[in-house]
Amino acid sequence: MQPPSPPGKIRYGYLRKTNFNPAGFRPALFSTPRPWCVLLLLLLTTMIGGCGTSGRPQLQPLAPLPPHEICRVAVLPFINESNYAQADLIVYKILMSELVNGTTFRVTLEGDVRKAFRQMRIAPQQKPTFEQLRMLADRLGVQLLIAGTINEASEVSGGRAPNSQLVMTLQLIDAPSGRILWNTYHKKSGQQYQKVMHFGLVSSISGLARRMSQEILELWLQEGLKPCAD
Amino acid sequence: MARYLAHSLIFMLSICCWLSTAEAAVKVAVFPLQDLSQGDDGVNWPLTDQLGLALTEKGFEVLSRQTVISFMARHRIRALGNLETYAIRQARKDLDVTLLVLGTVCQQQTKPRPGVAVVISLIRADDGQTVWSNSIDLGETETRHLLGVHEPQSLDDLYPLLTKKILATWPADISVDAEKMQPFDIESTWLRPVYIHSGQEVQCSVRLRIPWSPKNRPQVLFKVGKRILQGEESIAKGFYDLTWREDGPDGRYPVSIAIQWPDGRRKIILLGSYFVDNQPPELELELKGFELEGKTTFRDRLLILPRLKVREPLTRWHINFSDSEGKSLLSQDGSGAPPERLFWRGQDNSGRLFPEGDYLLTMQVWDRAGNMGQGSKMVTVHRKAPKLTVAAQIIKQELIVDLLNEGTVPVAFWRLDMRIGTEIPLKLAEGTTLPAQISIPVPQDLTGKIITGKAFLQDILGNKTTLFIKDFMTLARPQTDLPAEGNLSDQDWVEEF
Repeated sequence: MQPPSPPGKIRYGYLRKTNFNPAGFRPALFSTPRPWCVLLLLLLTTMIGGCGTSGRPQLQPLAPLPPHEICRVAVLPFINESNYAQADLIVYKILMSELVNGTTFRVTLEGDVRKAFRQMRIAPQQKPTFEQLRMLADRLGVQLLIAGTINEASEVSGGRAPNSQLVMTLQLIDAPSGRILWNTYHKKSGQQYQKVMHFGLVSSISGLARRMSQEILELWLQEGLKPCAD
Repeated sequence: MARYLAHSLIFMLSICCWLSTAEAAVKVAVFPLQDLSQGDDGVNWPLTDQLGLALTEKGFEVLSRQTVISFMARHRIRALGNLETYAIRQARKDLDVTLLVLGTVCQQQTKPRPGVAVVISLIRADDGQTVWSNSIDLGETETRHLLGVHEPQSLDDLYPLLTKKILATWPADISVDAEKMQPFDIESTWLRPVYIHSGQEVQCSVRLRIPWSPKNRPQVLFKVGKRILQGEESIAKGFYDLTWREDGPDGRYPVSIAIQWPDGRRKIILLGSYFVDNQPPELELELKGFELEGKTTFRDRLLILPRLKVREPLTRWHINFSDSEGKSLLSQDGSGAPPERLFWRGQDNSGRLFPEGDYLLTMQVWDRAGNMGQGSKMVTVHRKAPKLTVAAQIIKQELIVDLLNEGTVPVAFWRLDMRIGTEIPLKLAEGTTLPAQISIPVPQDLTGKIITGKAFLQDILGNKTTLFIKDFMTLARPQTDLPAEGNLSDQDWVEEF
């Protein structure tokens, strides 16, 4: 488990994983360049080349989490800033699913959230005001709200190099006050999950959203978000 | 032997009965799967049916498609992929189901290779809780095998794989825990107006969907700021209304509904807020004209710039021009904030020019609470042509011409064009201040010729005067009568200046 980062400091996950290679270091393997070594090197490069799963979500804590455990959460409809139609809906559904599946939060039904939005006349793709956030929290009986924005989404299917890319920002909002507690930014492409040949490659937005949601939830739990006991 | 057979038969029958009751106990409603690949309202029946079939094979009692559709129609459920708690409660009541399956096909493609991504959720009808959910994507890379054997070629090949994957993670135990659904549901709320001034009435109306039994009927109160108020109840319809007069000071007033059950449980829900604002908007009118004798004076165009000292949203505005007797001559209304700048051409609604004189310009604006702010200024319409006097004298063979502005409005510019006859230029003089004196030597050979001239004057408001002098030499002789001078209107002045 990693220690929680100090407030106000952005954590750059993939910077931490970068290997430092001191000057002058030369592995013994390269000291005698032989044909089999070159072949082995090429094979290793091919196999490991796609394993660049270093793109971790970046968490920016803005305020401390509530000290007590959190039971009820609601996910607010996402805002789509990308050119990919329905990216907000797809990522929303998948994050909801991962919340139910991977945590012990009691997740408010999507239907109840959308009904509250309709009643409060909050238009789609519109961010609720502070007061509206408090009203939503009251009406839905939740302690924490999750808001999200899809910044970029693209998908290239078929061909020799199918790939997808997704950039999203999620915010944890303290329901009683409407204050943003954590801001999480995550950017990933499907090729970053590639292992050997095409294996592991994520070619769809849905697949990418699922893996990225899992990574974000994992990070949140690591950093101290406490769901109530099941 | 017969006894042994009877016992065996009874045992077999009881086993069958137990099995049949155990299987039939869990009733599931599979709602049509939303299909985002067909648009927001798309539905995927093949996968819905496939899922229903797989659940039936697993031993659940799955409601028929027709039953689910008629339930949705009866309760006007139009959304796919999600349900609200009230609908789940109704499903439990009407359909007697234990579980509801909702799902969304997020993505689906047939070419170049079949692929599908779904999210399936299982909702427990007893408490409206999502007890299990799974998102599965079978894309072109996920279904590709190393040697290319048994790879799905179409969606029909893919759906059974998908269903198998869904059911592989199906929860083994779906027990109902102690937490039940919220014992009420807010169907609608109404709080108006949101911006008021002291003394205005505010109305709040709430409709709660679940009518409670008389025994468990809670007390429903309104909390307005720090006050607790009792509203009118229409229990049959679930309406709770409250109208009150607000006399408090300026500020924000939150309104909540407070529900207290006989067993002591309490729930306070914020419904909204309203704002008391008794401060009228402070309006200033800036006029772009010429200040003459303390009044803004113009001829054909007045620029009006309304300014708020403290910016705030406005709901409407009104502008009015009235004469010195207070009679309204021109007015106009608008919604929202007034334009940042208004031009007035000194005309009324029918395009007629206002007569010369003083007018009172008044502008009123209203903020969201209905407070009215006002600004007014006196303006003067001045269209009189400036009075230009031309005098001439001859001193020591010098023709001296004096130009004098006898009007009250300052001069913008003037021009004097003197010619011998009407063609030969003699002197052209211009200036921006009057009085002015122009001096030229008297031409030597003037036999049979005259010196004519044209003097032009424009004041700072744009009013113009043109004078024709038939003969400066005659004008310069004091004994004789003054030559005929013509005062032309603006339209007669054709020469480009």
